[in-house]
Amino acid sequence: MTEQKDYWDLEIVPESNMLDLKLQDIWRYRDLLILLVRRDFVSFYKQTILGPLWFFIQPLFTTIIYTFIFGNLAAISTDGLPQPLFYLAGITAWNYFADCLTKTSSVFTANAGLFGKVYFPRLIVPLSIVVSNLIRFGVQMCLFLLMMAYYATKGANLHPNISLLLFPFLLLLMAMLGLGLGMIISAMTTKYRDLSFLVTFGIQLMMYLTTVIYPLSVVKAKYPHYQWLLEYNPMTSIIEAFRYGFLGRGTFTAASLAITTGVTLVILLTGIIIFNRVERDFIDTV
Amino acid sequence: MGSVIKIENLSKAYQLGEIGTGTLTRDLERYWARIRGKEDPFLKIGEANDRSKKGESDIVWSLKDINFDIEEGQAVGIIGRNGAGKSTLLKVLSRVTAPTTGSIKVKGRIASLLEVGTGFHPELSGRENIYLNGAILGMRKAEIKRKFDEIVDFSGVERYIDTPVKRYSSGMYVRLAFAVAAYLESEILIVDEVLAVGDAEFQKKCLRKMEYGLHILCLDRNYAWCTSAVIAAGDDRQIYI
Repeated sequence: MTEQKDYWDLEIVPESNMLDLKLQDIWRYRDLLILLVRRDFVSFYKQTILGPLWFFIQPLFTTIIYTFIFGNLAAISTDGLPQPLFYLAGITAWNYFADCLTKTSSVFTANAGLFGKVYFPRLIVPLSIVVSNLIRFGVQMCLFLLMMAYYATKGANLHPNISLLLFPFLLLLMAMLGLGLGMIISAMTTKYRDLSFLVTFGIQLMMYLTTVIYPLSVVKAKYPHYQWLLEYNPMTSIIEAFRYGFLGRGTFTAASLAITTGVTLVILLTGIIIFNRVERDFIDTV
Repeated sequence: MGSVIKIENLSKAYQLGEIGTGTLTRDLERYWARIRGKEDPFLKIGEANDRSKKGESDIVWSLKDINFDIEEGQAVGIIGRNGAGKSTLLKVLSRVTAPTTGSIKVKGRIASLLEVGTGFHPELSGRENIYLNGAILGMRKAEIKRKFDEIVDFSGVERYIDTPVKRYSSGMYVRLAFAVAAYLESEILIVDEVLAVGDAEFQKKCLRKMEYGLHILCLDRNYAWCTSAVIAAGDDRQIYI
């Protein structure tokens, strides 16, 4: 029984433990993670003249349009903050979450060719998406900080405060939420594609249920009956806390952040479990 | 005693036809059976995979109850006609897809080469693709760096190394892809009909390079150099050694 020949490095069986994350395997493939991030980043601006500058242009133009439509035409309050700054804060944070979600949600279908030919821990690919979006987010944060500095010199009423310390935590929450939701959707679209149609416009609709183009305080004052809709949305308190930390305006409580954290963890765990289940033989049905 | 791979009762079922609303009802039934702890009702009616005849069931067994051991130091070739299950066996062995039943036990690291140039990105240069492809195949970055010059040398496309691979001729593309794979170091190497690449001179060079460790190869004919064991996949889903 204790003979050496009973030792095997690897056993391939039909079912595996749901919570077995193969973290050791993932660690062994960490170089692949870095190279995939590099690939995403480099291939994004290959054969362009402006290169990484394109990371700036998208949020900048969105901000201009939002300022015109929601700020001036519809005259939605921005909590007394300069309008472009208010929108850019929301867009920067929201984009990170939305990009993580949409990219992760097509991980199985988009990489079927790769997954069908070689084994590596599948979780590497969604993780690389989160990290490469983080780089993009970092670039866009620079734009936000530049705009903040510009408005500060013009004497706008900004109050960066101690809540800024929450920033890394908020970033982690957004990454986990995007990753978790994305993995659930990607696992559910391997066999039946229906859900993938929902993602593209669903994410847009969800933005309007999040406080990207309006502050939570306005909803609380104007539509107290509907504020639960926003408060149950985990992204709301993340964005409100983000705005509060950097600009000094935003409505969030420790309780709302705690609920968000709880919801996020549940979603991430569900995502990982479903993803683990599906990755074993999705290639037969994708 | 010295077996490196032990395959026991390995089976793999596939579903034929399209996936749509019809398969959804079946999935629900299957799920319901699993909740009650019963056997999958649809696997019982599976049929042997005979591609030329119209069958009753649309579940087929690509592999059915396969048992064999592979000893250390062998070069094993798997031969069989189209659809015999050669590639399915290699896919299960390389963990691309899970078996339906049975188990495989392995000693040592497996590297598999079911296709050359997996994960090559057309926009990236040859240099960047060597690193990316090497990492996908399971190499560490330092390892690739160490072997980089040799890989480039082996591929013979040094002049194009900083050009995006989408500009390569198909021959150059394959040479570069194979060169990365040739420097893969692992105890077990699985190769699926990828040797049919490049010109005659390059093929010979590849074979010379691959003379180490244990190999499992999927072949369309019986090559002289893998005589130590040849596994034939027969019509009855069984494997003969």
